[in-house]
Amino acid sequence: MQELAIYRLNTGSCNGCDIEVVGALAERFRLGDAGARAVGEPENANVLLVTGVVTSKMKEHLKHVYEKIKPPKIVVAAGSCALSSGVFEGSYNIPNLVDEVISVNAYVPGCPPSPHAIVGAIADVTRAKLPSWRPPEDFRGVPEVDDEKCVGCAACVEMCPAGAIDIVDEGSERTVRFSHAKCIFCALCEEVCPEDAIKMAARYHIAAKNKDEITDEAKLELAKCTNCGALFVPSKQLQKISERILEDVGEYRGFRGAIEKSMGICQNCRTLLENARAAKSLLFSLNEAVRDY
Amino acid sequence: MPKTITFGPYHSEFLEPEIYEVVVDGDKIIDVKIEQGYTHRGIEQLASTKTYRQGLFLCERICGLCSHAHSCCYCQAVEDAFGVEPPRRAEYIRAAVFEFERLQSHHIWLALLFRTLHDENQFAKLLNAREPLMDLIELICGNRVHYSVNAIGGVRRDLKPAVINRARQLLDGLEKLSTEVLEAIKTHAQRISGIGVLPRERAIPAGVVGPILRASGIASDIRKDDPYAAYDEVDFDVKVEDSCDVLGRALVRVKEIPESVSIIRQLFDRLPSGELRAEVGAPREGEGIGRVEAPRGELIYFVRSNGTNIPQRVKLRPPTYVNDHAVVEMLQGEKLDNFQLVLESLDRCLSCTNRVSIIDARTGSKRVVRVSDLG
Repeated sequence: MQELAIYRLNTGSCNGCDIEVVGALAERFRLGDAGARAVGEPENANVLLVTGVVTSKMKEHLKHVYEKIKPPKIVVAAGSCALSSGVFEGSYNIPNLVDEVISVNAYVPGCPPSPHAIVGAIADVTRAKLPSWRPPEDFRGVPEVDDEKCVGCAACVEMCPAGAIDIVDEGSERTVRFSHAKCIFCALCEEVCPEDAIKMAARYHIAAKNKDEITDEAKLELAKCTNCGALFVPSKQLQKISERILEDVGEYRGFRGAIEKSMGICQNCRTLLENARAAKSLLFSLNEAVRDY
Repeated sequence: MPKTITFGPYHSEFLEPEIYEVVVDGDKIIDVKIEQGYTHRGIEQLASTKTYRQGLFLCERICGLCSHAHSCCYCQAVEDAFGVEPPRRAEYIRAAVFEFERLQSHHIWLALLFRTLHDENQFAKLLNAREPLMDLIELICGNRVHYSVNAIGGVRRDLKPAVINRARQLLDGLEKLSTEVLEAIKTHAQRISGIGVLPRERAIPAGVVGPILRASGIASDIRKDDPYAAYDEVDFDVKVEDSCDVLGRALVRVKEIPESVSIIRQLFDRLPSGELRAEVGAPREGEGIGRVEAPRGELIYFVRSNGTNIPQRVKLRPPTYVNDHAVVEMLQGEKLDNFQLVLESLDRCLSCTNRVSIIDARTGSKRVVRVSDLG
C-alpha cells in the first residue's frame, strides 16, 4: 500500500472537523504509523478529505481540487455536514451534498468526528494496526435505540434538530430509523425519550463505505382500530399509555376496560358521534371517580 | 508597477476558505480586498425555522472553536426574552466550560502561530499538550468540539467531583506550560514585533474586539464590563499589551492562559450545590440580548419571540466579522512576507462571519444586503 498523502478541503464547515484534522497531527494519534501524512497542496495529495457542507461558492472549487488529486484519488467525507448537510439541511446556500458533486469512497460520521475516528478510518484503508481507542463512559457517540423499550411515540423525531430520525409505516409495521449520517450527536433524542430507549453509544469507530448503511432502527407492530380495522399507532404505545394512566391515578383502575377500549379507536373513528359520546361519558365518570376521592 | 496577488479561497495556511486579493508594489502591500461568503450557510434564516431547543444546537454548530460561546450566548438571549434565570450551579458550570474552551482555543491558535513561524517543535509541543485538555473536555461534555452542555434555562451535564480532581491536576500543568510558551514567543519577538500594527487610536474606529483590541492597549472584556454566567463572582485581570502588533496579540493570549486557569480554580472552589436547570415555561412575546466574551472577542445575539416555539428572528454579531476587516488597515504598508503572520494574528474563524453580499453583474460593485432592502 502506498503512503497516503491527505489534503483537507473545507467546503463550508464550522471549523470543528478542520480543528480535529489538525488535532490528528498530535503524536498520540500516530498518523504516520497509520501510513498517512497531511499535505498542504492538492497537487501533492492522493487522498481528499472534505469537511463541511458544500456551499454554492465552494461547489466549483471542490470539482477543481478533485481534478488535481493524484491517483488512487480516494475521497473521504468527514463529519455530518459533508455526509448529509447535518443541521444545515434546507439552507438556501447549500445546493448539493459532497457525493452529488464528486464520488466519495468513505464516510466518517461525527459532529465532528474525533481524531480517533479520522485516523481509525485511514487505518482501515491502509490496513495498519493501531490501538483501539476507547471513549469515556459519557461520550456522545451514535444514538442506539433499544427495540425492547421503544414504543414508537416519535418524540425524538419531533425534536431532532437535523431531521436524522424517520418514522416509516409499512404494512403492519412501524420502523423508527436513526440515520447516523445525518446525526449531529447532540443527544436531544436521548434527553426527550420518555421510555429511556435511546443511548448514545460510547465508541469512536463508525466509518463506513456506504452512508445509507450506517443506521440503527427499532421495529414495532401497529395496532388495528377496533372500530374500522385501519392500522394507526404501535400497540406497544397504546399499552404503555394505558399502563401509565392506571399507574398514576389509582381511582381509574376500575375503568381499565373502558379506557383500553376507547384508546383502541383510531383518530378518524373517534370523531364518529357514538364514539365521541362514549368518550365523553367515560371522561365524566373518570372525573367523578377523582372527585369522590 | 503594482500587481495583484490572490490568496485563496483554499490555501495551505488557511483553515477556512476566503479570498484575499493583495495589491503589492514590489514587496510592499498597498491594499487588500477581502472576499467572503465561501462558508455562508444561511444560519440566521435557518434559525427562524427551528424551535428554540433545536436552534441551540444549530447556533452551537456555527463555529467549532467558539461552540460553547455561541450556545451560551443564544441561551442568554432566549432566557432574557423569556425572563428565565438559570440556577447558580448552572452559571458556574457554564463559566467553567467557557474557560476550558478559551484554553483549548488559545492553545490551537498558539500552535498555528508557531507553525506560521516555521517553529515545528513548538507547534508539535502545543498540539500534544492540548490533547490532555481535549480529553478532559471530552470527559466533561461527551465531545471534544461541540460541547452541548447548555440548555435554555441551565445546563444539561453536571460537573462530577472525580472530573474536578482530574481537572485540577491538569490546570497545574497548563500554567507551567504557559510560562514556557511565553519564553518561546520571546525568542521570536524580533520577527513578530512591529508588524501588523493597529494603533490604539485606530482600534476603536476599526471596530476590533477581544484580544486584538486588548493588544492595542484597550482593556475591554465583556467578562469584566458586563459580567454574565458566574464571572461576577471571580477575580481575574484583563491582560492588556500596548505594542499594538502581532507580538502584542500573542502575549495577550498567552497571558490569558494563567488567568483562565485561575478562574476555573475559583469556580471549582466555590461551586454551589443545587439544581441544573430552571423551569422555562411557555414562550412569550418579547426580545432578548446575549453578550459574551468569546475566545476571539465580543459575541452578541439578539432574539425576537412572537410567542410561538420558533423564534421570529435570531441575529448575531460574531467577533471575527469585525476583526477580519481590520486586517486591511493592518496590512497596508506592510511587507508581503508578513502577510501570513498578520493574518494569523487575528485568530480568524470565518465560519461565523460569512454574510450575503449582492454583486451587480453590470458594474461589478458589491454591497451587503440590509433587512430594509428586503422590504
